[in-house]
Amino acid sequence: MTDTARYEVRRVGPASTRGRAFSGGSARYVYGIVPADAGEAVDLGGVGLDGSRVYVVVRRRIGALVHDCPAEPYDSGGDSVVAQWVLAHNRVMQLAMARWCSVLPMTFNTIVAPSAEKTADENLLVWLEAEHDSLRERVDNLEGKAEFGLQVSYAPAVILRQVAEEVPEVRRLEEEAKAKTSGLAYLCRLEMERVLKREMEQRVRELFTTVYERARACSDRVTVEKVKNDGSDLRMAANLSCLVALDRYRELEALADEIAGHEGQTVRLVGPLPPYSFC
Amino acid sequence: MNVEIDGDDLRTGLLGLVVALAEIVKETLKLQALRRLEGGSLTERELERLGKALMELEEAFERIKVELGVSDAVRSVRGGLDRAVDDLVGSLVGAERS
Repeated sequence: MTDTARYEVRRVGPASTRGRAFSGGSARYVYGIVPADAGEAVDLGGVGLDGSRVYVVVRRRIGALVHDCPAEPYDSGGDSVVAQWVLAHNRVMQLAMARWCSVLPMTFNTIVAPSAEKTADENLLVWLEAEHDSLRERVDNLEGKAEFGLQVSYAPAVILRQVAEEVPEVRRLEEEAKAKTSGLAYLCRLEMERVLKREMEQRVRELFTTVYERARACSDRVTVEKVKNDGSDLRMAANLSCLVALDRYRELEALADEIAGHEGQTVRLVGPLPPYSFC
Repeated sequence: MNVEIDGDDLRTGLLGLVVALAEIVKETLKLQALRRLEGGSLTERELERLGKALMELEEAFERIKVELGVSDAVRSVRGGLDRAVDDLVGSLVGAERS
């Protein structure tokens, strides 16, 4: 027995007939979840992976953005192919954001396959029904919001110079080292290095806290990502993902400008992105 | 899969590891020396000798690394250790947060 009698899959237009390696198939690749009203049927056209036709499978007040695919993960030996797929996935998310003002993105390669008793559409609908309230709540919470990546880096050499100029202890140790015999001077320099390091760490911590607090003030939610260093002369102090209401984006932009206005600090602000970090 | 080990690579890697570990011991000695300096328990003469010994140790390390041609290997071991510690601390902090 299946649930088909209770569920209805809505589609518009005939399945795409364009010749593609991944066109058609018994499984459904799921891009994300959008708010929907029963009866609403949407076809976004061939905007998906490899030009697949993306449409919405609706269950009550939520819809899953899908395309038809074989029941196996997208797997390619070539990085450039995978990059194309990920870009296509992202493009669908951007389209969904523009159209519904809200999308709960799924991870790349989320595929609902048919099982022994049920087709992929039936399985998808069972899942949408089971998770309906929670999915709708999450989609509603994301309405009108987008993710922004805020990365703040600093130039250690500049911060060190500032510390050396501003912290009296450093200057005192420097003077002391000049006046002492070699062994003692060496110890003074070691001590000076330690003070420099401690002060610098303190400043980087303060920078992080300031950025985090200020970002939180204009965001709905902020998650702290791991800092990444790319081997350049810059070190990252804060790597944040911010969920921001689109009408408050200017505040985040102003914050980024302000941080970048300080000597030795650089800022990277990326977005609006689909809320990948908040789903 | 066969792993091919080049004799020179093995030597450099192993020596690099040994020197990197010895360097970490040296850093600990430096920290201890600074504690003594702050503690004020040593006379100026003792501090002078301690400082000089550390300075010579530092120079000896730099010389040894150049002579053995392991400067890069040492840097790589220490970079790897730093990253491992970062990851460990990150995962502990992460576990606490969630």
